[in-house]
Amino acid sequence: MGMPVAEEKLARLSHPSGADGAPGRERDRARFEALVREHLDGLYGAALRLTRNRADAEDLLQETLLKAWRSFHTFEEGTNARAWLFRILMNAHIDRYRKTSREPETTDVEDVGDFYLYSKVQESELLRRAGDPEKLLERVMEHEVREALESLPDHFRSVVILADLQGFSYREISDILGIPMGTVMSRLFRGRRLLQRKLWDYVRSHHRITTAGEGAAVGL
Amino acid sequence: MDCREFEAKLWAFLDGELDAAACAQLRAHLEDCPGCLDHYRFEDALRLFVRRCCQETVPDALRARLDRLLARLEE
Repeated sequence: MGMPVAEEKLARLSHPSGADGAPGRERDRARFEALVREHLDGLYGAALRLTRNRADAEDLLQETLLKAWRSFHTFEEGTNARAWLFRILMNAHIDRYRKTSREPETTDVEDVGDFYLYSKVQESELLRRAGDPEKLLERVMEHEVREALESLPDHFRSVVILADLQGFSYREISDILGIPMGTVMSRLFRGRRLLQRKLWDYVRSHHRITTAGEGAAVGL
Repeated sequence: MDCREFEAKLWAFLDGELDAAACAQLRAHLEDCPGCLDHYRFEDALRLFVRRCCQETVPDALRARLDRLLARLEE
């Protein structure tokens, strides 16, 4: 990272392989590279959670960059570059994976109602005695959080990734995915409930916590 | 505003998607209700935690591969 790569890049850009006298295009390429560099980690993180494995995430990222470069001339400077890149990523993901693996539509997903992890924590005698409900988070492993997110159906996962990992606004997500704001909100809220329920399952099964209603808590 | 209404708007509030008037209502409720304040803190901490767990850095090998890709980009 940092200097060596940047130097190498500068060196390369000063000796364009084509030498075809298209300085405008070279300038575009430099702008494009800077843009990609700035958002690469975010795009990669989203690609990993979308594809659920490294090899596919790498392919998806590569495809995204190629598609982005091909339509870069349509990108207007000063508009939302990050949203533009994520829209291309999401479309590439849909093209690649919806074709092959037909996931069940959202109607097949179990209704989890008003599930809040927080309420479960409150109901847990053991966690309540421990004091801080946020202590619960220390019992959840990092890989469990990633697994929980990756277990969500595609529709919900995409919106949760864009909102909670990438911090996009509802309006931006609506533009990125091409769905109405109301749909963004219902998918996001349902996705969060599914995620919290999954996290609660992990906490319960791995750490043997029971809620007050289910009898005494077993030792940790 | 009661606790049910607060809960219904909590995520939109944390997402920064409520207008100023609605935010003021929620803040006023937070001042009087320790239970909802607790819940608010929990949701906030949970989201940060999820984000941190999913933080990724492009591995060097992939970065090199993408650099080669960028270098080969044609018009």
